[in-house]
Amino acid sequence: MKLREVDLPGIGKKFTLHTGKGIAISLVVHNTGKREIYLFPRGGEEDASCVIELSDEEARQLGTLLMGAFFTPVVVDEDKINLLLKGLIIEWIELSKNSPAAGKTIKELDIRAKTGASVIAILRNEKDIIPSPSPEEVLKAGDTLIAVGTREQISSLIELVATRPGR
Amino acid sequence: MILDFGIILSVLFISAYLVRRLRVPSILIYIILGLSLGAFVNRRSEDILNIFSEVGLILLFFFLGLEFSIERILSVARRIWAAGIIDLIISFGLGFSTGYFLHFNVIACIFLGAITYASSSAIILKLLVDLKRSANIETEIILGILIFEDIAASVLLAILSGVGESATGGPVIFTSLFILAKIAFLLGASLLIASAFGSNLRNIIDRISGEEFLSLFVIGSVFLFSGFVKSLGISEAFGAFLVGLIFAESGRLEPVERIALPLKDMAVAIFFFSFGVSIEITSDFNKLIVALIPLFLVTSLGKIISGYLGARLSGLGSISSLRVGYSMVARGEFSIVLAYAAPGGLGIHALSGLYILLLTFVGILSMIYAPNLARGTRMVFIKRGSNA
Repeated sequence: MKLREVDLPGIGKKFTLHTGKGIAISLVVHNTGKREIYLFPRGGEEDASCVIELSDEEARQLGTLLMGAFFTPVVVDEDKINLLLKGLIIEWIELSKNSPAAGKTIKELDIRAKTGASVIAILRNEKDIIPSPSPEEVLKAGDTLIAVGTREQISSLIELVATRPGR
Repeated sequence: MILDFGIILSVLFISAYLVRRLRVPSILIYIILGLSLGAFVNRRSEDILNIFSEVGLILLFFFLGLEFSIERILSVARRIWAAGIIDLIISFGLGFSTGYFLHFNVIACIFLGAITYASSSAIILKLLVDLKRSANIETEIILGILIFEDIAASVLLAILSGVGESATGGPVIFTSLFILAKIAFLLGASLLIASAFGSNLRNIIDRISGEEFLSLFVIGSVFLFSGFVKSLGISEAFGAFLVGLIFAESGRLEPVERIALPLKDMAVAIFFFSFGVSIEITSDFNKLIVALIPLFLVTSLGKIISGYLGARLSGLGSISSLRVGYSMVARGEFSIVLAYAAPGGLGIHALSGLYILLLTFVGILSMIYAPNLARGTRMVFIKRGSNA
């Protein structure tokens, strides 16, 4: 995968990615903040076959989607498949308003010890991602925990954050 | 006088507004308006027009200087110097030679070479973005050459303005060396100030950033320095360029540009309008045309060829290289500034004016149709089989 960054004096910056299939995708970030995506199907000397202009908001939204924060498809990757086969899964768990976990820190909940699952990231307010949250991180209602573990471990975690205390 | 000024501004606005859909850079409109309405501009309005025109010139070059940091100058120099030099030699050389064949005196030929040298960054930049070619490969080369030209043309302007000032002075060699020394000194001093006081400047700007007197500081500094440079006999535009360089090192472009942009936009429009007004097509119209046609043909072809060669040298394929050539034909702001600096006695004002007008128009067309022109040219001239 080739990523190239070029300064376009007077216009902005251009980032070009050559995909494995031979298509060149260029992202031009203008000094004015405007973003444009250019597609060069044969990567050659002709004009772009397609140009998409994105506002700041649109660019961020698209970026988040591309990053896989909302939906991560199963990746075709040896190691990851092995993980899956060994029974490890990644799950998105949303904390409801009544969740007993709301207002507590990860340490307080003792998630690792009690369930065996690991919280690898927290998605808050539908757009902020807190990767590798510290044990002192306070969980809030509405947060989505991104956790990894075996099926049983994930189930435990779901019970932990969904059931009322003192069951 | 105020009423006249208001009328002029309103006419400029209405015209620019009406044609903005046509993808024509407003520069062309302002010049044409100046040309056609020139007769109606009376003496009284001339004063205020001249003042704003000079302000426009100064701010134009100030903003140009802002684009440059020492780091960028060095990186451009490394990447594009070959193409830049080819462009300089061919374009300046052809302009000079054509003038010579047309029996202009040496000094006039030098000015003609300079006027026909620099392509219009303003026009080309705007078209690149509007035509959605920002991401094309050839754009990188085009921008590089334009940057090179910006520096080279600014230095040329400084030298020639000095020459223009002392055109009747003593032995040419002596005055030229003196002028070069002044320019070198100014350039060196500015770069020194820029690197030494860049952070101080940054602090000052940060501290007064929200205040209403930020504009006094910025515009005041620009005029102060430009005026000083002018008193040394060098073009105030070069001085403004140097101030831009200094401000660029502060890293605080955003507040500076924000505060000066409105004034710059308005003043630059007036600058081009005034240029149009100053084009006086007096008696010898035939003589003008006889000089204009060869100059136009030779220098346009020159740009296409130099652009092509420069791009090929930088590793581009034949079609992209041809597109570079066809895109660089447009002349504009630099040529106008250099034409202004030429002493009246040389008799090239009217010629320059018409030349620039023609080249602006043709240059825009050439750039819009560059893809087609490139393909056509390749089919006709470059018969070598290897498919690029």
